[in-house]
Amino acid sequence: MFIRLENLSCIYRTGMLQEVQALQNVNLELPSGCLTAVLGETGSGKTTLIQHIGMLVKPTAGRVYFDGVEVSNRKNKKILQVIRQKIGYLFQNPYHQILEATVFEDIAYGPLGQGLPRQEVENRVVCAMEAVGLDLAEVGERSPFLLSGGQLRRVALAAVLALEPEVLILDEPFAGLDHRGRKLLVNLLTKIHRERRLSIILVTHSLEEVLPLVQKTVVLEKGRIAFEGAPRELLNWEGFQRCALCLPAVTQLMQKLERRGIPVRTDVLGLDEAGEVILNYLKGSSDD
Amino acid sequence: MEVRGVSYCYISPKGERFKALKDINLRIRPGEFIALIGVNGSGKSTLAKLFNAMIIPSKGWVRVNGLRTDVPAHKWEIRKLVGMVFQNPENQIVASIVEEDVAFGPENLGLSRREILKRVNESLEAVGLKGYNKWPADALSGGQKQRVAIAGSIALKPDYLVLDEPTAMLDCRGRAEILKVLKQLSWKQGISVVLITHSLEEALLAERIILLDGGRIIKDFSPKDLFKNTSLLEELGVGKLPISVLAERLARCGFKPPGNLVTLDDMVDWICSFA
Repeated sequence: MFIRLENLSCIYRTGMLQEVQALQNVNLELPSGCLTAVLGETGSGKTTLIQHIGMLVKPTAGRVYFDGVEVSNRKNKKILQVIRQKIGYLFQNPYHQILEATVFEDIAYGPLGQGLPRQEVENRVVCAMEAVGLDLAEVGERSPFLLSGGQLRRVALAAVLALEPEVLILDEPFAGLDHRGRKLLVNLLTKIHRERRLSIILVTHSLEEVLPLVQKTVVLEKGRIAFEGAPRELLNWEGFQRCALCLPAVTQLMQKLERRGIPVRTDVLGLDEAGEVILNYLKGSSDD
Repeated sequence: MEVRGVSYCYISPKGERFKALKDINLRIRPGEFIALIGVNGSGKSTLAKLFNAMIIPSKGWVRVNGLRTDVPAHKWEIRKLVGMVFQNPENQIVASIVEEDVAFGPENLGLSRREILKRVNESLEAVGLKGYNKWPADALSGGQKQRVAIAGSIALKPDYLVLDEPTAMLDCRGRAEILKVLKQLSWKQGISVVLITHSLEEALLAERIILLDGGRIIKDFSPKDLFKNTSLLEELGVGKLPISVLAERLARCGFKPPGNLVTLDDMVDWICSFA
Protein backbone atom coordinates (compact mmCIF):
# COMPACT_ATOMS: atom_id res chain seq x y z
CA MET A 1 0.00 0.00 0.00
CA PHE A 2 1.17 3.48 -0.82
CA ILE A 3 1.25 5.56 2.34
CA ARG A 4 1.32 9.33 2.30
CA LEU A 5 1.46 11.78 5.19
CA GLU A 6 0.48 15.35 4.43
CA ASN A 7 1.31 18.25 6.77
CA LEU A 8 0.88 15.95 9.73
CA SER A 9 1.03 17.58 13.16
CA CYS A 10 0.31 16.19 16.56
CA ILE A 11 0.07 18.09 19.82
CA TYR A 12 -0.26 16.31 23.14
CA ARG A 13 -2.07 18.06 26.01
CA THR A 14 -3.44 20.80 23.78
CA GLY A 15 -3.86 24.15 25.52
CA MET A 16 -2.11 23.05 28.69
CA LEU A 17 1.02 24.64 30.12
CA GLN A 18 3.27 21.77 29.09
CA GLU A 19 1.84 21.41 25.59
CA VAL A 20 4.01 19.01 23.59
CA GLN A 21 4.33 19.37 19.84
CA ALA A 22 5.16 15.74 19.05
CA LEU A 23 4.99 16.10 15.27
CA GLN A 24 5.26 19.26 13.21
CA ASN A 25 4.23 19.46 9.56
CA VAL A 26 5.48 16.06 8.57
CA ASN A 27 5.29 15.24 4.86
CA LEU A 28 6.29 11.73 3.89
CA GLU A 29 5.68 9.23 1.11
CA LEU A 30 6.28 5.54 1.59
CA PRO A 31 5.92 3.66 -1.70
CA SER A 32 4.13 0.33 -1.70
CA GLY A 33 6.43 -2.49 -0.62
CA CYS A 34 9.04 -0.14 0.84
CA LEU A 35 11.05 -1.22 3.87
CA THR A 36 11.57 1.91 5.93
CA ALA A 37 13.48 2.56 9.16
CA VAL A 38 12.31 5.45 11.35
CA LEU A 39 15.21 6.70 13.46
CA GLY A 40 15.96 9.49 15.90
CA GLU A 41 16.70 10.05 19.56
CA THR A 42 14.29 9.13 22.33
CA GLY A 43 11.45 11.64 22.41
CA SER A 44 11.91 12.74 18.78
CA GLY A 45 8.43 11.56 17.75
CA LYS A 46 9.15 8.15 16.19
CA THR A 47 6.43 6.25 18.02
CA THR A 48 3.90 9.05 17.53
CA LEU A 49 4.59 8.99 13.79
CA ILE A 50 3.99 5.28 13.38
CA GLN A 51 0.93 5.44 15.62
CA HIS A 52 -0.55 7.80 13.05
CA ILE A 53 0.31 5.43 10.21
CA GLY A 54 -1.14 2.56 12.24
CA MET A 55 -4.40 4.55 12.62
CA LEU A 56 -4.09 4.42 16.40
CA VAL A 57 -4.28 8.17 16.92
CA LYS A 58 -5.97 11.00 15.12
CA PRO A 59 -3.74 13.83 13.90
CA THR A 60 -4.15 17.27 15.44
CA ALA A 61 -3.76 18.59 11.90
CA GLY A 62 -2.91 17.11 8.51
CA ARG A 63 -3.85 13.92 6.73
CA VAL A 64 -2.84 10.30 6.32
CA TYR A 65 -3.57 8.45 3.05
CA PHE A 66 -3.46 4.74 2.22
CA ASP A 67 -3.55 4.16 -1.55
CA GLY A 68 -5.14 7.58 -1.91
CA VAL A 69 -7.86 6.97 0.70
CA GLU A 70 -7.78 9.38 3.58
CA VAL A 71 -7.74 7.39 6.81
CA SER A 72 -7.39 10.34 9.17
CA ASN A 73 -10.98 11.26 8.28
CA ARG A 74 -13.04 8.85 10.34
CA LYS A 75 -16.33 9.29 8.46
CA ASN A 76 -16.27 6.26 6.18
CA LYS A 77 -16.09 3.58 8.86
CA LYS A 78 -16.44 0.63 6.46
CA ILE A 79 -13.42 1.51 4.37
CA LEU A 80 -11.39 2.26 7.46
CA GLN A 81 -12.25 -1.12 8.89
CA VAL A 82 -11.07 -2.84 5.72
CA ILE A 83 -7.78 -0.93 5.76
CA ARG A 84 -7.28 -1.53 9.48
CA GLN A 85 -7.42 -5.26 8.88
CA LYS A 86 -4.45 -4.91 6.55
CA ILE A 87 -2.23 -3.31 9.19
CA GLY A 88 -0.15 -5.32 11.64
CA TYR A 89 1.24 -3.32 14.55
CA LEU A 90 3.85 -4.48 17.04
CA PHE A 91 3.89 -2.34 20.17
CA GLN A 92 7.04 -1.33 21.96
CA ASN A 93 5.88 -3.14 25.07
CA PRO A 94 4.82 -6.72 24.32
CA TYR A 95 2.65 -6.84 27.46
CA HIS A 96 0.31 -4.40 25.74
CA GLN A 97 -0.77 -6.93 23.16
CA ILE A 98 -0.87 -10.27 24.94
CA LEU A 99 -4.50 -11.26 25.40
CA GLU A 100 -4.84 -14.98 25.95
CA ALA A 101 -3.86 -17.58 28.53
CA THR A 102 -1.65 -19.71 26.30
CA VAL A 103 0.86 -18.84 23.60
CA PHE A 104 -1.09 -20.78 20.97
CA GLU A 105 -4.41 -19.09 21.78
CA ASP A 106 -2.79 -15.69 21.87
CA ILE A 107 -1.38 -16.03 18.35
CA ALA A 108 -4.72 -17.48 17.13
CA TYR A 109 -6.70 -14.59 18.59
CA GLY A 110 -6.35 -12.22 15.62
CA PRO A 111 -7.02 -14.70 12.80
CA LEU A 112 -10.02 -16.10 14.74
CA GLY A 113 -11.36 -12.57 15.09
CA GLN A 114 -11.13 -12.19 11.32
CA GLY A 115 -13.50 -15.14 11.03
CA LEU A 116 -11.07 -17.58 9.43
CA PRO A 117 -11.84 -21.30 9.65
CA ARG A 118 -10.20 -23.19 12.54
CA GLN A 119 -7.88 -25.20 10.28
CA GLU A 120 -6.58 -22.08 8.53
CA VAL A 121 -6.05 -20.39 11.90
CA GLU A 122 -4.03 -23.34 13.14
CA ASN A 123 -1.87 -23.29 10.02
CA ARG A 124 -1.20 -19.64 10.50
CA VAL A 125 -0.24 -20.08 14.16
CA VAL A 126 2.16 -22.89 13.29
CA CYS A 127 3.77 -20.85 10.49
CA ALA A 128 4.02 -17.70 12.60
CA MET A 129 5.63 -19.54 15.52
CA GLU A 130 8.12 -21.16 13.21
CA ALA A 131 8.92 -17.81 11.62
CA VAL A 132 9.85 -16.20 14.95
CA GLY A 133 11.69 -19.26 16.26
CA LEU A 134 9.22 -20.44 18.91
CA ASP A 135 8.87 -24.17 19.41
CA LEU A 136 5.19 -25.17 19.34
CA ALA A 137 5.73 -28.31 21.43
CA GLU A 138 7.80 -26.45 24.00
CA VAL A 139 5.85 -23.24 24.59
CA GLY A 140 2.53 -23.60 22.71
CA GLU A 141 0.53 -24.48 25.80
CA ARG A 142 2.45 -22.31 28.24
CA SER A 143 1.20 -19.02 29.63
CA PRO A 144 2.79 -16.08 27.77
CA PHE A 145 3.25 -14.31 31.08
CA LEU A 146 5.58 -17.00 32.39
CA LEU A 147 7.91 -16.64 29.42
CA SER A 148 11.04 -14.54 29.45
CA GLY A 149 10.91 -10.98 28.11
CA GLY A 150 12.54 -11.93 24.81
CA GLN A 151 10.26 -14.92 24.27
CA LEU A 152 7.22 -12.77 25.01
CA ARG A 153 8.34 -10.37 22.29
CA ARG A 154 8.43 -13.27 19.87
CA VAL A 155 4.88 -14.25 20.82
CA ALA A 156 3.67 -10.70 20.19
CA LEU A 157 5.42 -10.63 16.81
CA ALA A 158 4.03 -14.04 15.84
CA ALA A 159 0.53 -12.82 16.69
CA VAL A 160 0.99 -9.86 14.34
CA LEU A 161 2.41 -12.02 11.53
CA ALA A 162 -0.47 -14.49 11.83
CA LEU A 163 -2.77 -11.70 10.63
CA GLU A 164 -0.81 -11.69 7.34
CA PRO A 165 -0.90 -7.90 7.13
CA GLU A 166 -0.08 -5.85 4.02
CA VAL A 167 1.50 -3.15 6.12
CA LEU A 168 3.72 -4.18 9.01
CA ILE A 169 4.58 -1.57 11.63
CA LEU A 170 7.15 -2.52 14.26
CA ASP A 171 8.06 -0.36 17.25
CA GLU A 172 11.57 -1.31 18.44
CA PRO A 173 11.31 -4.95 17.39
CA PHE A 174 14.98 -5.63 18.24
CA ALA A 175 14.88 -4.38 21.85
CA GLY A 176 15.26 -7.22 24.32
CA LEU A 177 15.99 -9.87 21.70
CA ASP A 178 19.13 -11.97 21.95
CA HIS A 179 21.62 -12.31 19.11
CA ARG A 180 19.86 -15.34 17.64
CA GLY A 181 16.51 -13.56 17.83
CA ARG A 182 17.93 -10.50 16.10
CA LYS A 183 19.43 -12.54 13.30
CA LEU A 184 16.19 -14.44 12.92
CA LEU A 185 14.22 -11.19 12.76
CA VAL A 186 16.54 -9.72 10.12
CA ASN A 187 16.17 -12.85 7.98
CA LEU A 188 12.44 -12.95 8.56
CA LEU A 189 11.94 -9.33 7.53
CA THR A 190 14.07 -9.82 4.43
CA LYS A 191 12.10 -12.93 3.51
CA ILE A 192 8.56 -11.66 4.03
CA HIS A 193 9.41 -8.40 2.39
CA ARG A 194 10.74 -10.20 -0.69
CA GLU A 195 8.00 -12.81 -0.90
CA ARG A 196 4.94 -10.79 0.02
CA ARG A 197 6.01 -7.29 -1.01
CA LEU A 198 4.83 -5.97 2.33
CA SER A 199 5.29 -2.35 3.29
CA ILE A 200 7.33 -2.52 6.47
CA ILE A 201 7.98 0.43 8.76
CA LEU A 202 10.17 -0.08 11.78
CA VAL A 203 11.28 2.18 14.57
CA THR A 204 14.67 1.24 15.93
CA HIS A 205 18.01 2.25 17.38
CA SER A 206 19.71 -0.83 15.93
CA LEU A 207 21.34 0.65 12.85
CA GLU A 208 23.77 -2.25 12.72
CA GLU A 209 20.93 -4.64 11.91
CA VAL A 210 18.69 -2.49 9.74
CA LEU A 211 20.99 -0.52 7.45
CA PRO A 212 21.81 -3.48 5.19
CA LEU A 213 18.09 -4.31 5.16
CA VAL A 214 16.07 -1.18 4.46
CA GLN A 215 15.55 0.90 1.34
CA LYS A 216 14.68 4.11 3.07
CA THR A 217 15.63 5.80 6.32
CA VAL A 218 13.78 8.66 7.98
CA VAL A 219 15.32 10.56 10.89
CA LEU A 220 13.11 12.59 13.18
CA GLU A 221 14.35 15.48 15.27
CA LYS A 222 12.00 17.26 17.68
CA GLY A 223 8.97 16.14 15.71
CA ARG A 224 10.25 17.18 12.29
CA ILE A 225 11.84 15.16 9.54
CA ALA A 226 15.55 15.98 9.69
CA PHE A 227 16.65 13.44 7.08
CA GLU A 228 15.07 11.23 4.47
CA GLY A 229 17.05 9.03 2.13
CA ALA A 230 18.85 5.79 1.38
CA PRO A 231 20.94 4.14 4.15
CA ARG A 232 24.21 4.99 2.44
CA GLU A 233 23.28 8.66 2.26
CA LEU A 234 22.42 8.53 5.96
CA LEU A 235 25.95 7.36 6.85
CA ASN A 236 27.31 10.42 5.03
CA TRP A 237 24.79 12.83 6.57
CA GLU A 238 26.31 15.54 8.75
CA GLY A 239 23.47 15.43 11.32
CA PHE A 240 24.19 11.82 12.27
CA GLN A 241 25.79 12.50 15.67
CA ARG A 242 23.49 15.38 16.55
CA CYS A 243 20.48 13.06 16.36
CA ALA A 244 22.14 10.54 18.72
CA LEU A 245 22.17 7.81 16.09
CA CYS A 246 24.32 4.82 16.97
CA LEU A 247 27.30 4.59 14.67
CA PRO A 248 27.62 0.92 13.70
CA ALA A 249 30.91 -0.75 14.68
CA VAL A 250 31.79 -1.32 11.00
CA THR A 251 31.33 2.37 10.23
CA GLN A 252 33.55 3.27 13.19
CA LEU A 253 36.17 0.87 11.88
CA MET A 254 36.07 2.28 8.35
CA GLN A 255 36.26 5.85 9.64
CA LYS A 256 39.28 5.00 11.77
CA LEU A 257 40.97 3.41 8.74
CA GLU A 258 40.23 6.45 6.61
CA ARG A 259 41.74 8.72 9.26
CA ARG A 260 44.89 6.62 9.16
CA GLY A 261 45.12 7.25 5.43
CA ILE A 262 43.82 3.89 4.23
CA PRO A 263 41.79 4.45 1.03
CA VAL A 264 38.49 2.78 1.96
CA ARG A 265 34.91 3.96 1.65
CA THR A 266 33.28 4.65 5.02
CA ASP A 267 29.65 4.25 3.99
CA VAL A 268 29.60 0.45 3.94
CA LEU A 269 26.33 -1.22 4.89
CA GLY A 270 27.09 -4.08 7.22
CA LEU A 271 29.89 -6.53 7.87
CA ASP A 272 29.78 -8.36 4.54
CA GLU A 273 30.46 -5.23 2.58
CA ALA A 274 33.11 -4.05 5.04
CA GLY A 275 34.87 -7.41 4.69
CA GLU A 276 34.91 -7.08 0.91
CA VAL A 277 36.28 -3.53 0.97
CA ILE A 278 39.02 -4.43 3.44
CA LEU A 279 39.91 -7.60 1.52
CA ASN A 280 40.28 -5.62 -1.68
CA TYR A 281 42.60 -3.25 0.07
CA LEU A 282 44.67 -6.03 1.64
CA LYS A 283 44.94 -7.88 -1.68
CA GLY A 284 45.98 -4.69 -3.46
CA SER A 285 48.64 -3.93 -0.83
CA SER A 286 50.06 -7.45 -0.87
CA ASP A 287 50.40 -7.36 -4.65
CA ASP A 288 52.58 -4.25 -4.57
CA MET B 1 26.33 -11.78 48.02
CA GLU B 2 26.31 -15.53 47.90
CA VAL B 3 24.11 -17.87 45.89
CA ARG B 4 24.38 -21.55 46.86
CA GLY B 5 22.85 -24.53 45.09
CA VAL B 6 19.90 -22.47 43.87
CA SER B 7 17.15 -23.83 41.64
CA TYR B 8 13.95 -22.04 40.76
CA CYS B 9 10.68 -23.36 39.33
CA TYR B 10 7.86 -21.35 37.82
CA ILE B 11 4.44 -22.95 38.23
CA SER B 12 1.74 -22.11 35.70
CA PRO B 13 -1.90 -21.59 36.71
CA LYS B 14 -2.52 -25.10 35.35
CA GLY B 15 0.06 -26.47 37.74
CA GLU B 16 2.79 -27.19 35.21
CA ARG B 17 6.31 -26.68 36.49
CA PHE B 18 9.02 -24.98 34.50
CA LYS B 19 12.56 -25.03 35.83
CA ALA B 20 14.15 -21.66 35.09
CA LEU B 21 17.33 -22.07 37.16
CA LYS B 22 19.30 -25.17 38.04
CA ASP B 23 21.95 -25.47 40.75
CA ILE B 24 23.38 -21.95 40.61
CA ASN B 25 26.47 -21.16 42.69
CA LEU B 26 27.83 -17.63 42.67
CA ARG B 27 29.65 -15.08 44.82
CA ILE B 28 29.57 -11.38 44.12
CA ARG B 29 32.24 -9.28 45.83
CA PRO B 30 31.87 -5.62 46.86
CA GLY B 31 32.39 -3.14 44.02
CA GLU B 32 32.49 -5.81 41.32
CA PHE B 33 31.10 -4.94 37.89
CA ILE B 34 29.51 -8.06 36.44
CA ALA B 35 27.79 -8.58 33.10
CA LEU B 36 25.18 -11.32 32.98
CA ILE B 37 24.67 -12.64 29.46
CA GLY B 38 22.66 -15.44 27.85
CA VAL B 39 19.89 -16.00 25.32
CA ASN B 40 16.21 -15.17 25.90
CA GLY B 41 14.87 -17.62 28.45
CA SER B 42 18.27 -18.63 29.83
CA GLY B 43 17.34 -17.46 33.33
CA LYS B 44 19.00 -14.03 33.58
CA SER B 45 16.00 -12.10 34.86
CA THR B 46 14.97 -14.93 37.20
CA LEU B 47 18.43 -14.88 38.75
CA ALA B 48 18.23 -11.10 39.13
CA LYS B 49 14.90 -11.39 40.96
CA LEU B 50 16.45 -13.85 43.41
CA PHE B 51 19.08 -11.28 44.40
CA ASN B 52 16.63 -8.96 46.15
CA ALA B 53 14.05 -11.42 47.44
CA MET B 54 11.49 -10.61 44.76
CA ILE B 55 11.37 -14.39 44.46
CA ILE B 56 12.71 -17.06 46.85
CA PRO B 57 14.70 -20.10 45.62
CA SER B 58 12.81 -23.39 45.24
CA LYS B 59 16.01 -25.06 46.42
CA GLY B 60 19.25 -23.70 47.92
CA TRP B 61 19.68 -20.20 49.33
CA VAL B 62 20.76 -16.64 48.58
CA ARG B 63 22.56 -14.56 51.21
CA VAL B 64 23.03 -10.80 50.95
CA ASN B 65 25.58 -9.40 53.43
CA GLY B 66 24.88 -12.45 55.58
CA LEU B 67 21.08 -12.13 55.41
CA ARG B 68 19.21 -15.01 53.84
CA THR B 69 16.50 -13.94 51.40
CA ASP B 70 14.15 -16.76 52.46
CA VAL B 71 13.76 -15.27 55.95
CA PRO B 72 10.73 -12.96 55.64
CA ALA B 73 12.04 -10.64 58.37
CA HIS B 74 15.09 -9.85 56.22
CA LYS B 75 13.13 -8.87 53.15
CA TRP B 76 13.04 -5.10 53.62
CA GLU B 77 16.67 -4.84 54.66
CA ILE B 78 17.64 -6.85 51.56
CA ARG B 79 15.54 -4.63 49.29
CA LYS B 80 17.50 -1.68 50.64
CA LEU B 81 20.81 -3.42 50.01
CA VAL B 82 19.98 -4.55 46.47
CA GLY B 83 18.61 -1.93 44.06
CA MET B 84 16.87 -2.97 40.84
CA VAL B 85 16.48 -1.11 37.54
CA PHE B 86 14.43 -2.49 34.66
CA GLN B 87 14.31 -2.20 30.88
CA ASN B 88 11.51 0.28 30.39
CA PRO B 89 12.13 3.64 32.08
CA GLU B 90 8.42 4.52 31.78
CA ASN B 91 7.48 1.75 34.21
CA GLN B 92 9.76 2.90 36.98
CA ILE B 93 9.07 6.58 37.39
CA VAL B 94 6.50 7.02 40.18
CA ALA B 95 6.37 10.80 40.62
CA SER B 96 5.95 13.67 38.17
CA ILE B 97 8.92 15.72 39.38
CA VAL B 98 12.47 14.37 39.31
CA GLU B 99 13.33 15.06 42.97
CA GLU B 100 10.06 13.60 44.21
CA ASP B 101 10.75 10.43 42.27
CA VAL B 102 14.25 10.06 43.66
CA ALA B 103 12.99 10.87 47.18
CA PHE B 104 10.28 8.21 47.04
CA GLY B 105 12.48 5.44 48.45
CA PRO B 106 14.26 7.43 51.17
CA GLU B 107 10.91 8.92 52.30
CA ASN B 108 9.63 5.42 52.92
CA LEU B 109 12.63 4.75 55.14
CA GLY B 110 11.40 7.50 57.46
CA LEU B 111 14.56 9.60 57.16
CA SER B 112 14.72 13.26 58.19
CA ARG B 113 13.89 15.89 55.58
CA ARG B 114 17.46 17.12 55.59
CA GLU B 115 18.86 13.60 55.04
CA ILE B 116 16.38 12.96 52.23
CA LEU B 117 17.38 16.15 50.43
CA LYS B 118 21.03 15.31 50.87
CA ARG B 119 20.53 11.86 49.39
CA VAL B 120 18.49 13.20 46.48
CA ASN B 121 21.19 15.70 45.59
CA GLU B 122 24.01 13.18 45.97
CA SER B 123 22.19 10.59 43.88
CA LEU B 124 21.34 13.02 41.09
CA GLU B 125 24.94 14.17 41.01
CA ALA B 126 26.19 10.57 40.84
CA VAL B 127 24.10 9.92 37.71
CA GLY B 128 25.09 13.21 36.08
CA LEU B 129 21.75 14.97 36.64
CA LYS B 130 22.81 17.62 39.13
CA GLY B 131 20.35 20.52 39.11
CA TYR B 132 17.52 18.55 37.49
CA ASN B 133 15.60 18.43 40.82
CA LYS B 134 12.55 20.40 39.67
CA TRP B 135 12.29 18.98 36.16
CA PRO B 136 9.04 17.26 35.17
CA ALA B 137 9.90 13.59 34.67
CA ASP B 138 8.08 13.38 31.34
CA ALA B 139 10.23 16.15 29.85
CA LEU B 140 13.30 13.92 30.17
CA SER B 141 14.83 11.77 27.44
CA GLY B 142 14.83 7.98 27.78
CA GLY B 143 18.43 7.95 28.98
CA GLN B 144 17.70 10.68 31.52
CA LYS B 145 14.64 8.81 32.83
CA GLN B 146 16.69 5.67 33.18
CA ARG B 147 19.29 7.65 35.13
CA VAL B 148 16.55 9.03 37.39
CA ALA B 149 15.53 5.42 38.04
CA ILE B 150 19.14 4.60 38.95
CA ALA B 151 19.28 7.69 41.20
CA GLY B 152 16.12 6.50 42.97
CA SER B 153 17.82 3.17 43.61
CA ILE B 154 21.13 4.52 44.88
CA ALA B 155 19.36 7.04 47.13
CA LEU B 156 18.70 4.01 49.35
CA LYS B 157 22.48 3.54 49.55
CA PRO B 158 22.50 -0.02 48.26
CA ASP B 159 25.58 -2.23 48.17
CA TYR B 160 24.37 -3.89 44.99
CA LEU B 161 22.68 -2.54 41.89
CA VAL B 162 21.07 -5.00 39.48
CA LEU B 163 20.01 -3.71 36.06
CA ASP B 164 17.91 -5.80 33.70
CA GLU B 165 18.70 -4.65 30.14
CA PRO B 166 18.68 -0.96 31.12
CA THR B 167 19.88 0.22 27.72
CA ALA B 168 17.64 -1.86 25.45
CA MET B 169 15.23 0.98 24.71
CA LEU B 170 17.70 3.85 24.64
CA ASP B 171 19.35 5.74 21.83
CA CYS B 172 23.10 5.88 21.43
CA ARG B 173 23.58 8.87 23.67
CA GLY B 174 21.37 7.37 26.41
CA ARG B 175 23.28 4.10 26.28
CA ALA B 176 26.65 5.80 26.65
CA GLU B 177 25.33 7.87 29.59
CA ILE B 178 24.11 4.81 31.49
CA LEU B 179 27.28 2.80 30.95
CA LYS B 180 29.43 5.69 32.13
CA VAL B 181 27.33 6.05 35.29
CA LEU B 182 27.54 2.33 36.04
CA LYS B 183 31.32 2.30 35.76
CA GLN B 184 31.58 5.22 38.12
CA LEU B 185 29.22 3.68 40.67
CA SER B 186 31.29 0.55 40.77
CA TRP B 187 34.70 2.24 40.79
CA LYS B 188 34.14 5.34 42.85
CA GLN B 189 31.34 4.30 45.20
CA GLY B 190 32.17 0.63 45.50
CA ILE B 191 28.67 -0.48 44.55
CA SER B 192 28.54 -3.97 43.02
CA VAL B 193 26.89 -3.67 39.63
CA VAL B 194 25.18 -6.58 37.88
CA LEU B 195 24.31 -5.63 34.30
CA ILE B 196 22.06 -7.92 32.28
CA THR B 197 22.63 -7.32 28.60
CA HIS B 198 22.39 -8.79 25.11
CA SER B 199 25.20 -6.61 23.87
CA LEU B 200 28.65 -8.19 23.98
CA GLU B 201 30.11 -4.72 23.50
CA GLU B 202 28.47 -3.68 26.77
CA ALA B 203 29.56 -6.89 28.49
CA LEU B 204 33.16 -6.06 27.62
CA LEU B 205 32.96 -3.05 29.96
CA ALA B 206 32.52 -5.34 32.96
CA GLU B 207 35.31 -6.94 34.99
CA ARG B 208 33.61 -10.30 35.00
CA ILE B 209 31.17 -11.93 32.60
CA ILE B 210 28.76 -14.66 33.63
CA LEU B 211 27.17 -16.70 30.85
CA LEU B 212 23.87 -18.46 31.51
CA ASP B 213 22.28 -21.11 29.35
CA GLY B 214 19.29 -23.31 30.06
CA GLY B 215 19.18 -22.06 33.67
CA ARG B 216 22.80 -22.95 34.43
CA ILE B 217 25.99 -20.94 34.69
CA ILE B 218 28.04 -22.13 31.71
CA LYS B 219 30.99 -19.77 32.07
CA ASP B 220 32.31 -17.26 34.55
CA PHE B 221 35.15 -15.43 32.90
CA SER B 222 37.01 -12.18 32.32
CA PRO B 223 36.30 -9.98 29.27
CA LYS B 224 39.69 -10.98 27.86
CA ASP B 225 38.52 -14.57 27.68
CA LEU B 226 35.41 -13.58 25.78
CA PHE B 227 37.44 -13.67 22.60
CA LYS B 228 38.71 -17.16 23.32
CA ASN B 229 35.13 -18.35 23.54
CA THR B 230 33.69 -16.86 20.39
CA SER B 231 32.59 -20.20 18.95
CA LEU B 232 30.81 -21.14 22.19
CA LEU B 233 29.01 -17.79 22.27
CA GLU B 234 27.97 -18.20 18.64
CA GLU B 235 26.83 -21.76 19.23
CA LEU B 236 24.67 -20.75 22.19
CA GLY B 237 23.15 -17.90 20.17
CA VAL B 238 24.49 -15.22 22.53
CA GLY B 239 26.29 -13.38 19.80
CA LYS B 240 29.48 -12.50 18.15
CA LEU B 241 31.39 -9.26 18.18
CA PRO B 242 31.44 -7.55 14.79
CA ILE B 243 35.22 -7.58 14.94
CA SER B 244 35.29 -11.38 15.33
CA VAL B 245 32.97 -11.82 12.34
CA LEU B 246 35.22 -9.62 10.26
CA ALA B 247 38.40 -11.35 11.44
CA GLU B 248 36.98 -14.74 10.46
CA ARG B 249 35.98 -13.52 7.04
CA LEU B 250 39.43 -12.09 6.35
CA ALA B 251 41.07 -15.29 7.63
CA ARG B 252 38.99 -17.36 5.20
CA CYS B 253 40.48 -15.35 2.33
CA GLY B 254 44.05 -15.85 3.41
CA PHE B 255 44.53 -12.80 5.66
CA LYS B 256 44.53 -14.18 9.18
CA PRO B 257 44.59 -11.45 11.84
CA PRO B 258 46.65 -12.20 14.98
CA GLY B 259 44.75 -13.96 17.77
CA ASN B 260 45.18 -11.17 20.34
CA LEU B 261 43.05 -8.75 18.35
CA VAL B 262 40.46 -7.35 20.76
CA THR B 263 39.40 -3.79 19.98
CA LEU B 264 38.55 -1.93 16.79
CA ASP B 265 41.87 -0.09 17.15
CA ASP B 266 43.76 -3.40 17.19
CA MET B 267 42.06 -4.27 13.92
CA VAL B 268 42.91 -0.85 12.47
CA ASP B 269 46.58 -1.21 13.49
CA TRP B 270 46.78 -4.63 11.91
CA ILE B 271 45.25 -3.48 8.61
CA CYS B 272 47.52 -0.42 8.57
CA SER B 273 50.55 -2.70 8.92
CA PHE B 274 49.92 -3.75 5.31
CA ALA B 275 50.36 -0.20 4.03
